[in-house]
Parts: sequence; C-alpha cells; structure tokens
Amino acid sequence: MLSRVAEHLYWLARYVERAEATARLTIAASDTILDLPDGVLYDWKTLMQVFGSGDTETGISEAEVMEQLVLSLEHSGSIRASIAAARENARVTRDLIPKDAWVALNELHGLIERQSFADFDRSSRIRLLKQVISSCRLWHGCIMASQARDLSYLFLRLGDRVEHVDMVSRLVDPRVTQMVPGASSRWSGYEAIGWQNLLSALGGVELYRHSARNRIRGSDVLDFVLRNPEFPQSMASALARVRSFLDQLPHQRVSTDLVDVIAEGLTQLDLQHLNPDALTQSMDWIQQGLGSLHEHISSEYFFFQANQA
Amino acid sequence: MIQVTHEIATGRFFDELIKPDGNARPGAESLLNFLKDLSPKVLSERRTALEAAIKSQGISFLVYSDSMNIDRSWPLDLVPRVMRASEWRQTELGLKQRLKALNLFLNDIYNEKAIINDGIVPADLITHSPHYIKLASGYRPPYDTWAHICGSDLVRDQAGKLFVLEDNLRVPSGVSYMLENRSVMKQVYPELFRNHQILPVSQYASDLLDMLNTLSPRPVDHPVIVVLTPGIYNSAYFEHSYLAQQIGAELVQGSDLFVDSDDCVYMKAVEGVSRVDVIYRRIDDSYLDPDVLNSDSVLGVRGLMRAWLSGKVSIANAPGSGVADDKVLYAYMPQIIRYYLNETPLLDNVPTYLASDPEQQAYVLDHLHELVVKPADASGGYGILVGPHSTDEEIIARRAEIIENPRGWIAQPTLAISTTLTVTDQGDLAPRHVDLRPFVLQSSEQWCSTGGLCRVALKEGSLIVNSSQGGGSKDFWVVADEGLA
Repeated sequence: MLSRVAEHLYWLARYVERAEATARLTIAASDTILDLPDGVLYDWKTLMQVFGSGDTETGISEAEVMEQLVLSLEHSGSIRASIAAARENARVTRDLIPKDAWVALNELHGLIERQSFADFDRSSRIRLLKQVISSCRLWHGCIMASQARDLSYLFLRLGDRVEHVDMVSRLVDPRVTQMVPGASSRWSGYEAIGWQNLLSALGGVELYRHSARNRIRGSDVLDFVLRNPEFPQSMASALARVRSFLDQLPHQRVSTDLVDVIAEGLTQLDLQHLNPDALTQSMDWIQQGLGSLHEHISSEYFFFQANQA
Repeated sequence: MIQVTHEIATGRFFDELIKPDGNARPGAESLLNFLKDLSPKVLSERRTALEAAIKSQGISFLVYSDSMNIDRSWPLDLVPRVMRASEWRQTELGLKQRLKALNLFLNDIYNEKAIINDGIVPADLITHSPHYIKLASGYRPPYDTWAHICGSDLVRDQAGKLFVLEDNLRVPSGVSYMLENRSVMKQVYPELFRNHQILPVSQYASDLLDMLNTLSPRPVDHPVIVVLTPGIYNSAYFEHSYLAQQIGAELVQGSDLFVDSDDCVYMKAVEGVSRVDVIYRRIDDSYLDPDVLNSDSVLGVRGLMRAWLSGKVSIANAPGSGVADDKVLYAYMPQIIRYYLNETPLLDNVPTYLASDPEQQAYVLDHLHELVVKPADASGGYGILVGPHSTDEEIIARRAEIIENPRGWIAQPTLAISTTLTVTDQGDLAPRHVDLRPFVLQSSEQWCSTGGLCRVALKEGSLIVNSSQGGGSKDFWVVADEGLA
C-alpha cells in the first residue's frame, strides 16, 4: 500500500470518528442543558476549549456554540469540517473503500451542506445530529462487512481507534462533564443525570447498567468508560485495538510500548480520590501520549524514506 | 408527448431515434413506445431518481473556472441513443482499422520514417509538432504499439453517414462515464432493459486489464500496474480512481514513484518499495519527467523517460503518441490508412482544410462564416469557432490568429450533426445534437468498447458537446438486430 494512501485512510477514519463523537457529545450537552436547574449556566467556553477552539468569547451562547460545533467551517473541529475532510480523504482513496461506505459518507456530506444556518433550531439540530450518528454507524457497518482485511483495513481501524481514545479523553474532562466523582458539584442533586449523559455520549448507558448493577456513581462511570475491557467504546478497549493494529503493521515499525505506557497510566488512576485538576491533567497526559504515538506512526509509515526499502 | 419537429420532418438533421415520417428507426421502436406512454409526471420522477443515483454514487467531474474548481454532478440525459448491432459491428471494424494504422504510423515516424521518405506526410508536420518527442526516436515498444488506448469521436451527418471527427491518443477520457451511465440507467429503467436486448458494456475493464498485462516487461503472472493521475484536482480524477478500482491497480501520483539507479520504477509503500511494471498514465507527456521534459512539472517522476527507454517499464499510451493526435495530421488519415494497410478507410474523415497550406488557407479565410475552425492541438472544446454561430468580431479576430500562426489551425465544414430526443430544462423532449466516443485498445490484439460515451449538446441548436462547455451525456445502446420486432 502506498504511504500516501495509508495516510489518507488513517485520516479518513479519524475524521469520521471525530464527527461521530462530536455529534454524540453535542447531543449529550443539549440533553444536559434541558436537565439543568434554573440559574445554573453551562460553561460553553471551556467546552469549546476542550474541543480545540481556543479563542472562544466568554459570553458565547448555546446557539452559537452549536453552530460552531456542528455547522461552522471556520472551526476545524466542527462536524461539518470533519465530514468535509473525511470526504476529501475518501475521494483520494475511493478505489480502496467499499462503494456503500463511500455513498454513506457522500450522502451525509450532502445532508450537512444543505443544512441552513437560518433554521438551525433545537429540533432540527437533534435530527441532524442523529442522522450524523446513524450515517457514521452505517459507514462502520460497511467497513466491517466489506473492507478487505488488508493494510487498508488496518490503517482505517488504527485511525478510528486512535481518534476514539482522544475523544474519550476529551469527553471525560471535568471541564466538559462539569462532573468529578465525589467532589461536590455545583449541580448538587443532578450528578446522576450528568454521569448518565457522559455514558450516553459513548452509547454505553445500557451496558453500564448491565455491568454495574448499581445506581449511577461517578467513580464507577469513569472506571467503565476508561477501563472496562468489555465495553468496546472504553478507552482501554480502544487502546487494546490500537496495540493489536500496530502489531499487525508491516515490520512493526511503531513500538507498542507507546500504547502500553498510556494503558499503564490508566490503570494507575485513583478514581475514588480524584480532584478535577488531577483528572484534567491525566487526560492531557493521555492526549500528549497519543500525540507522540501519532508522530511515530506518521514518520514510520506515511513519510517515506528511501532507506526503508 | 413526442412531437416530430420541423428539423426532423424535413430531414435537416438526421435523428437517431425518429425517421422523418415520425416512425421509430429500426431498433428504437420499443424505446419510443415507452417514451410515448410516459406522462410528464413520470418523466420528472425518473429524472429525479436518476439525478439522485448520480449524486449518491458521487459521479462527478471538475470544471475549471477563473476563481475555483467546481465539482459537478455528471450530467446524464434520460433518453438513450440507440444503434443496431449490425451497424455497430461495421463501425467497430473501422475504428480498429484506424488505430492499427495510427500505431504503424507512430512506430514508423519514430523509427524508419518511411512515410516521410515516401513523401506521403511532410516531415515538418512531425518535427514541428509539439507532441513529437525526439528522445523517443529509435524506441520499439512491446508489439510496436504506441497508442494503446484511443478514443475517437464519431458524428453522423444529415445523410446518416458516420464520420470520424478526431482521434484522441494522448489521454482520452470518458470511458468511466460510459460505464457509470449504464449502471445508473439500469437502476432507473429496469423495465427497458428487460424489453430490449441491449449489449452490455462492462467488458471494457477486463479488456483494459488484459491489454495492460500484455505490456509488462517482466514475464510474471500478475504484473504491477499503476494508474498515474495528476491528483484530485484534475477534471478527470473521478475516472482515474474509478478505472484503478475496476482493474485492481494502484492509483498513484508522481510523488508516490521514483526511479532507482537500476532504471526500474518503484512505488513508495508502507511495506517498503515495490517495482512497477506498467504505468497507465493520465498525465500529459510534457509533465511525465521533469528531468528531460517540462522541468517545472511536479506531477511527474524524475528519470521516468530513462526507465521507459531502457525497457524497464511500459507506459500507456507511450510518450510521443500525441503526434498522431494532431488535427493537422488528422487530415492525412485516409492516406495513412492506405499507405500502411493498403485498405480503403472504412470510416471517413470529415473534410479538413489546413491553414498551413496557402491554397486551403485562402479558402478558409473566404469561408469563415460557414466553417468550424479548431486549434490544431487543443482538446475539451476550447478555442473552437463555429462560423455560422459567430459574430463578425469573433471572425475577424480568428482570421488574424490564422494568418499569424497557420500551423495552429484547421477548418472543417459545419456539419449538420445528428440529433436525439433529450429532456430539456422545461422537462419536455426535444432533439439535441449528439456525438459518440468509442474506446479502442491495442497491444498483442485489439479490443473495442461496445458503443461508447455519447455526448449531447444540451443547449438548443448548439453543436458543442464537451462537458466542460455545458454538454451532457447519454447512455448508448447497441441493440441486437435479432431482438427487433
């Protein structure tokens, strides 16, 4: 497989995953707002910062945030920008991906491009976001069912899981959930709702209930989304997949040690006694680890050096 | 809802589906019956279904404009053009004859130059051609074949006779649209395909692969074939990607390849490097190798010409094939066919006047209002002047251009090219002018597409069919004669 093509596939999958995760986050945030008591303001500014938009104004409104997260082309992390970038990468690799997967992506792109800013109210927003999620699920289904199990599959899945680990690390950031286990939240009495929204952002409410068999507790939820090996969207599961894909790449040029360090850090986290800053710092540390993993993947497989022959 | 227009009734234009008396031409009977029964509502539903199918399959092309490139959905018309298999078989023979002669010609001018020495074709026509590559002199490609893929444009005149309008030998495009048009039409009109014996077109991809395999310099079962594209911003990128997928080849850009000190071409891959045997290139000659051709090229591969000349890689079409693509040379095609094959051309040329010949130039300048004037070496419908549709200013300007650079221009009579019913913007059916581009392949043997890409000028009265100039396309049906009622 061409190095250039491998890179496009990897990014294609990252952008699709980013779009889906952002859609899930946005729905979860929308739900949280509906459940908030009067007078409690959701901190949009930090949410935008966690999702990579540093220069957000303090007084930004819900409608503006939604527009930025979903429809904006200026905000590079928006769903629209992610889908457009995914489609550009797919156009270059069309000959390698299943036709149905391309059609799903292409239709989703058309759908978002047709959505007007003018009538982007709450109900049309939820409709669009659900459609984004189901199109992304359709995409995954096509990849799982029809993608050749060769290098193209490995790079697609690798990109998907690397991005997923990154998105989970952002989702559990207390600046997004505004929740820390044990600590007294300013939403006293609403913790269960906040944690449930985090689970639902990862599509894990039912699995959590099944595995915890208990009322929703912050430390259990974090343990579940970060470390549960049976929940496929947990960070630990995604890291395990990343590790296995790296193992299968030609000549194993990226050491799995990079992944093991992150996984080890995860197990060391003391979820019972966390303060918000510590959780944020841990997640930042994971994002840095991923950044360095990405650099290694890039330099070993995407930037061709003649001496690799 | 089908009206026989004045043009069809008076025979001013030959219509592909309807005879002047309003009856269907042989082969088109059940198509016309079907169209007659179609209410405007159903027609518009089918049109919506067709546009949705094209959109969701992402069949598109890029249009260059001053400020940006626009990715447009491929324009496919609802009404197919129909030809009987018996007529098609004759046409196919003519096309193959033409490509055979063209390849003998190319091999000759890069080697013995007999046709020049025998005074059939003037030497300066070759040496002054921008597509002549001196470096290729003395090279003998596999099977002495230079042009492996040829797209010739056919038009039909008032009397119903087919002519070759031009031969595209550089990087002929459009075959993916021929294949996708068929696939979309089958989704939109399943009942028509049940009722007609329409010959399939899908064989083309296998033929293309077979042909490319024969060119491999290494005697291996599965040569490594790549499709070399300028990249995603090329107007035909959709086609490059589509064809690569259809033949299972790697779609590469120049930066993915390099030539090593052993003169072999290699691909940069995540597994390491792998040697390339055959390059189906979709970039122009001048961009192939910045070392010896256009030094500004970022699309090509350094050392590619060296690799090719040392026989370590095959390139289809071979560099230098464009010499035979020139519209001035086109005028010599009947002589070329007779010279090499000692046969009468089965398909005629459109009469062509060369501005480089003083006598013919005088005629051209006197008759600019009646003639079509074309640049000798441009494609895509750019720079064409249709005399009867042009203003005095345009004609005066063109006259000056011809006098300044006679070698750069040719002229042809304005053909009354045939029409086929086409859905108009208003949603009714009206005749529009059409052409046809079949694709012929050659290496150890010859293969021909079943039919070709039919292009249609969507504007009423317009003769320009190029998609870059607002033209559309049609599915082209070769219908078995036996199946006729």
